[in-house]
Formats: sequence, structure tokens, C-alpha cells
Amino acid sequence: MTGYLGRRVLLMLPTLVLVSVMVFLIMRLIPGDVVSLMFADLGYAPSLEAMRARLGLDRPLAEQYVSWIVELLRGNLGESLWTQRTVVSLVAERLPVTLELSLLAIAFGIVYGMATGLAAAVWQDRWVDMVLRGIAVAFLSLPTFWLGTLVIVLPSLYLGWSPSIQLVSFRSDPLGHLAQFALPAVILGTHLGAPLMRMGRAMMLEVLRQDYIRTAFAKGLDDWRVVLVHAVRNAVIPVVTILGVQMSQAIAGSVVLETLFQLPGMGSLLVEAVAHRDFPTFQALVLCLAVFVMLVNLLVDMACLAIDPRLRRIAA
Amino acid sequence: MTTHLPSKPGAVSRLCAVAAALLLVVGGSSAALAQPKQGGVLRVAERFEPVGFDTLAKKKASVYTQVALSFTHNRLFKYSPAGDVVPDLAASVSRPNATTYVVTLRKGVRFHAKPPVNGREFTSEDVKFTFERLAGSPEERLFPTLKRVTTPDRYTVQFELSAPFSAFVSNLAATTMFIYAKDAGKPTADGGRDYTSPETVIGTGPFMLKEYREKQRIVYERNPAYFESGRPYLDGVETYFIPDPSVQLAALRTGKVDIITATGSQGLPHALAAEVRSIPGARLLRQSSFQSSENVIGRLDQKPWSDLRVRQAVSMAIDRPALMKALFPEGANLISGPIPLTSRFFVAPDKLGATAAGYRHDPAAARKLLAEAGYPNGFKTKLYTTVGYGSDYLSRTELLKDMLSKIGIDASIVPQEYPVWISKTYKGDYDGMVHIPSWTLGDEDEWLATYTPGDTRNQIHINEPGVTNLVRAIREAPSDQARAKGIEEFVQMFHANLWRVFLPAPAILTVTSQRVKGYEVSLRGYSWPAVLVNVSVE
Repeated sequence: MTGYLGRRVLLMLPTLVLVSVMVFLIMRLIPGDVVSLMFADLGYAPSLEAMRARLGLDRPLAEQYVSWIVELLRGNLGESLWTQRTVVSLVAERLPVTLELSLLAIAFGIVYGMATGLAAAVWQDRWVDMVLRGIAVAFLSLPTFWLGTLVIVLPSLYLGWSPSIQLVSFRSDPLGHLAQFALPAVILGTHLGAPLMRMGRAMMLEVLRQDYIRTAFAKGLDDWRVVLVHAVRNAVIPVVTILGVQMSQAIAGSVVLETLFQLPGMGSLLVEAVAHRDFPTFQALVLCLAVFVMLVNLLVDMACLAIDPRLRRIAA
Repeated sequence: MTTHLPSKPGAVSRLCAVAAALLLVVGGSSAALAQPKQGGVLRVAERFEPVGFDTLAKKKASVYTQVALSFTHNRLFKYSPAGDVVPDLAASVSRPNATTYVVTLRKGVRFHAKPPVNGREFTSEDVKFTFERLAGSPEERLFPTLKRVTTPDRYTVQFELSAPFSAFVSNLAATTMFIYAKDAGKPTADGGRDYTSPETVIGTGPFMLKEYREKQRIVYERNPAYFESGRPYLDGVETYFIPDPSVQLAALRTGKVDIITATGSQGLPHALAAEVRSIPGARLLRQSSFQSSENVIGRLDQKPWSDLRVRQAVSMAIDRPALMKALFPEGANLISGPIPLTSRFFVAPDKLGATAAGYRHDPAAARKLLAEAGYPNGFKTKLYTTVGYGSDYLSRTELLKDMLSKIGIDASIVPQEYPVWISKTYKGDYDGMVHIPSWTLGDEDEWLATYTPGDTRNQIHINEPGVTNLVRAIREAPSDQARAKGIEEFVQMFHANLWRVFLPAPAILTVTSQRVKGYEVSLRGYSWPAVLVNVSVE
């Protein structure tokens, strides 16, 4: 397993280089002169030449790239042109919010998706199955920003209640803090859980038709024991695999929900960086998110290894 | 509701201008006249937070920075809610000759009682220091001919200009020109002072900055030593940063905030205004935009825009009342230029006389004009726009294309990425026509400058010696009367020539809850907090 982990980490290196090249080139390939734009709109420097020099764009492309990578390796992600703070400090401040929201959403999505997927498979083609599938399709189709807006506007209209308009600190009010994250996490979780439900249902149906399950039933084992102990473990592997993709979707979904629910996270930071043409911040954030998604995928692969002994044998 | 500001300066028209502050009371307003109550905290919903607390830094100050400092700082002059320039820290101003202004300061004004300033008295040295900070700042452009600032005594400041500049006093009221305490900033390596951080926010204003939580809120508390005796009535103000208008409205409905502001011409969207009426006691306040306009332009040095008949035809093709009804149900002005709607020199089309015909929706007459200009079957052209201003802006471009097609102008929309737009089209590098917005701080001088060669916003490529000389004469006018006469002449000249075809300007919407008493919308600048000295809460 350690050898497999080492190989996977090594394989990440070329991907990282590719990602860094892409991120590096993004701002330089945008149509028009982005530096003129930043200078004209926001006056980040006294002159256009000074703006280019400040961004290091007056040097050859290869030199710019190497210098950027060297600074990255030193842990220097640059300085925000808009806030004039280091990007590292901005990320350190915002990342916990996004991680908390994403992890809560994923946790809720797994519970909701797996539980409903399992129930739909067990009661296949009965009303429970129909209703749960209908709900899953609805959650897949409805955009999270629309659900989020409804969840804010409707209670304010009919119950005289609206979510907190500032971040509640966990230290000062743990319950209030969790309550603040609960609504956006549930909205995002239902959106993420819907494909898990559909995948979980399909996998459970396939597993429930396997010979070893039929044998277990024939031996007179308790129905729920067969389903929860023998079937779920085999059905869950493809579901875990798509969790990697879901995690990146959770980050993307958090962009809008963070804004709606007044949560100062990475999503809103990314939106601000784009809106303010904050080139160094945008570049660093995209790289951070790319690395984050790669790490999540690595974790997913390791989880699959932990769940399935057959994969462990292949990996060995 | 459509409103127009009066056409001529004078006592009657000033009253009309005040009326045009467009206060429409949806809920009960009679209580606003009641005796203000001392105490209480006002909670404000603002879209975005300030970016640093320095309006004179090397980087252009965010409008939200300007708003934040309007709580805590004063300027030498300020805008009254009606848009007039009135003394703030200045007691009076005189102009001994065409290039000298002498400002006498209020006495006994003290900075906030916070270290390192510790409530010391404000003096002319602070004004001098503030103007020294202008060097290298984008705000330097406000005083293009400023040569020297001297301080004959503690309460007198003398400004010497290299050439007359008639907008000088008006620009002292610009909402970037706050007076900084010379000892409040953090010393920098180059010997200067840095005013970016919240600890340096020490002014003479009605409120003191108490707490700043990034991305969350700013808390201000009452300045007990404020120079206007008995003011402010409020104990404090809490500003919450809520970017989404629906969330702002939900917070107002549930009593979490008391005001939804209209900073940066981004008041409540018209589509949400109907919901305000369902909130008991809520007031919807309308104001004219002071800083932005949308227009259709072409190049005056190229055909067909060089032909007045074509420009008139384009203007007459636009069904402005229909646009206003469809897009701005809460009201709009029929046109948005060529000077700010809130300027006393703005002339509404119904007061224009003969040139008003250019703003009438008359497709038949427009087609006739095109035929006279040599385009009996219309013409094909490009209509540049950008995705950078959002989908609503693009929708308006599409409506324009549709209206132009009805007089035979086949305009193919060219949507541009914002970087391309700002680096090419916005600088005047285009062929055909453009749907373009304009922004300025609000003084007439800034708007007029765009009609002179060399100005970066001269996208229409106008180069008329008569206009250039007139703008220069206005800028160097020896008296207010001469300036007024010049601006009136320019406005008449503009409407007769339609160099730009201005579109309707929506009313900007502010919402207050029933707790708020005495709030007035401000017609100019990003300084609405200045009116909070007169506000109380129930």
C-alpha cells in the first residue's frame, strides 16, 4: 500500500506541472490586454509599464514561469493587488470556511445519497423508489443558487426569519455556527447526494442480484444484515469513486452559496479576485483549488483500496 | 414615475431640484417630522466592503472606501443632500484673484480621541498635509492646475493655481478629498504615512470606527466631540456587507437591517421594489443617478455617424418610454446626459424647445432623415457591446438592435470580452456603433472634458475647435456666473448636435425600515453617511 501511495504521489507531479503551466498561461491568453484592463480600471500602478513590471510581465515568459514556481516552492503565493495582503494569509483565512461547508455538504450528501439509494434499491419499483428517484432528479435539476434564494426569501416572507448576516464564530456560539452552515450544507448536499443516490441504487440492485447475496438470503440470514453488511460494502466502491468528482463540484457550488449565506470562504474570494482583476490572487487560488482536487482524488483512491481487498492485491 | 431636473439655475429651480430628490414615501412618513430621538443603533446593508481606508493612496479608491470614510471624516466642503456644495470643515472661502482661493477653517474642531492623535485640534497643517498626499494619487486629476498650498495661520489655507479652474471648490467636496490627521497614519520606509489599516481611521467625522471584521461588518460609534452640537443622534451604526439584493431585502424584512443603500448606483433592483411595499412601514426612496449614463455612439470622424441626420435618426428610433416601462418600472429619466442628471444645468427633453424633437420616438421621421442622409434603405453596421457589465446590459443592447432595425439600420451585435472592450472599444478603437456607459464623479467639468481631443473618454473622436474652446472657457471661467453661462451654452449645443445618443437613466432605489427617521437620499458623491447626523431610530 505504501508503494502504491508513493507511485500515485509521483504520478501527481507531472499533473501538477501541467496544471501550473495551464494556470500560468490562463491570464496571459485571455483576449485583449489584461494588464491594460487592470491599469485602466483600477490603477494598481502609476503607469502601464510599472503595472507590467509589478506583475513581472516585462520579462521573458520562461523566466516568469520559473520565477513563479520558485516562489511557490518557497510558499510565496504573491500579494493581492486589491487588498494588498499576501495571498497565503487570504487563503488561510478563507479556506477553513469553504472546507467546513464542503465537508458538511459532502457528509450530508453521502448520508442522504446512500440511504435513499439503498432504500430505493431494496423497494425497487415501489412507491418509495418512485418518490426518492423523483426527488433526486429534482435536486439534480434545480440550481443551488435558486434553492438557496428560496430558502432565504420564503422563511423571511412567511416566518419572519432569515439566516444570520454575519459569520457566527464556533468558539462563541457552536450551535449558532453549525446552524449557519447547516442550511447551505443541506442545499449543496442534496445536490451532491442526488447522483450518489442514483449510482448507489444502481450498484445495490446489481449487487443484490449476485449469487453470494442469494446464498446469504437462502441461508436464512436476517434481510437487513445481508443488505447492510454483505451488499453495501461491494456497492459502495463506485460511489466512493465519484466522490472525488463531487468534491470539486462542492467547491464550485460553494461559490454561490457562500455569497448568499454570508460565508466568507474561498468561493467568494475567487469571485472577488475575478471581479477586481486581481491577477496574482486569481492565479494562486486556481492553483490551490487544482491541487486540492488532486489531493481529494488521491484520498478517494486510498479509500477504495481500504474498502476493496481485490484492489489492494492489484496495487501490491 | 419620471422626473426631470429644472433647466435653469435660480431659487425656484433649486427648490425643484430638492423636490427632485425623489422621495417617494411608500409607508407612513409623517413621523419623519417628529422630534429626533437620541440613541439607538442603525444597521445598514451595504453590497461590498471598503478596500483599505485611504482615498489618496496610489491605487484608485473603492467607492466603498469613500463611503466608510464619510462616517469618520470630513472634507473642506461637502455636498448637501440636494447636491449643493456647502462648507464642511471650511467656514468660508474667498477668491482674491482668478488663481487663488483662501479657505478659512472652522475653529475648535477636534479629531477623534484615539491614539496617536488623541483628540487634538484640527488645523490648517492637516489640510496642507492632505494635499501633499495628492501627489502620485489618482485624485491629483481633481486639481490639474494646483501649484502651491500654504498655511498663513492655524485656521487659514491658501491654494494657488497655475491657471484658473472653475471646478476647484466643487472638487474640494469630492468624496475622496477627506482631511487626514497628519499624525494618524503609520510611518512608512519612504518617510510617508500609510492610511490603509483600520487603526489609522481617525478623522473629525460624526462617527468613530470601533470594529472592522473583514467580509463581515464595520461598527461605528458616536463621536461625542463632534463639532455639530447635539449630533449625531445615533449611538452607533453597524454596516453589514451583503452582496445579494434578495438577501438584503430578507434581512430588512426580518428586522436585521434598517437601510439598503444605493452606493455606486447599485441600489435595490427595480424588479425587487414591489416586495418593499409588502413590508410594513418600509420606505422606497428614489434618486437620480449622479455618476453614470448609457449611450449609443459612433465616430464623428467617420461616416455615417459624422452626419447629424443619422444621429438624429438613431435617437428617434429609440422608444425611450417603452424602454423605461419595460426595464425600470420604478421610474427613470428620459435621457442621462450630457451632464449629470443631478446637475442644476441638466435640461430635460420637455424643456428643450426645438431640439427636443431629437428625443421623440418617431420611426417614420427617422427613416426620412436616413433617406435625406443618403441611406434610403438604411445601412449595415456593427453594434459593439460587452459581456463585462452583465446580462442585463446585453439585453438592453439587444433591445437597441431591435429598435434600430425598425428604421432600416441592420446592426449586428459584437459582444466583446471585457479586457478587449476596455483596451480597445472603450478607448475609441472601433468602427460602426457602440452601446457604451459613462462614469464620472459628478462635477460638470469631468463630463465636459470628454468632449475634448486627447481625453481618454473621447470615444466619439470629437475635435471641434468651438467645443474645445468652450470647454476650456468653462474650466477657466472667472466667476460662477460665467461658468453657468458656458455650461448652459454647451448643453444647448450638445442637444442640437446629438454627438452621443443618451438612453434613459433608471432611478436608483434606497430602502429604509420604519425604524429610520429623518433619512434623506444624497444626490451626489459617495457620501450618503454624511446625512446620518440627522437620522434617528425608533
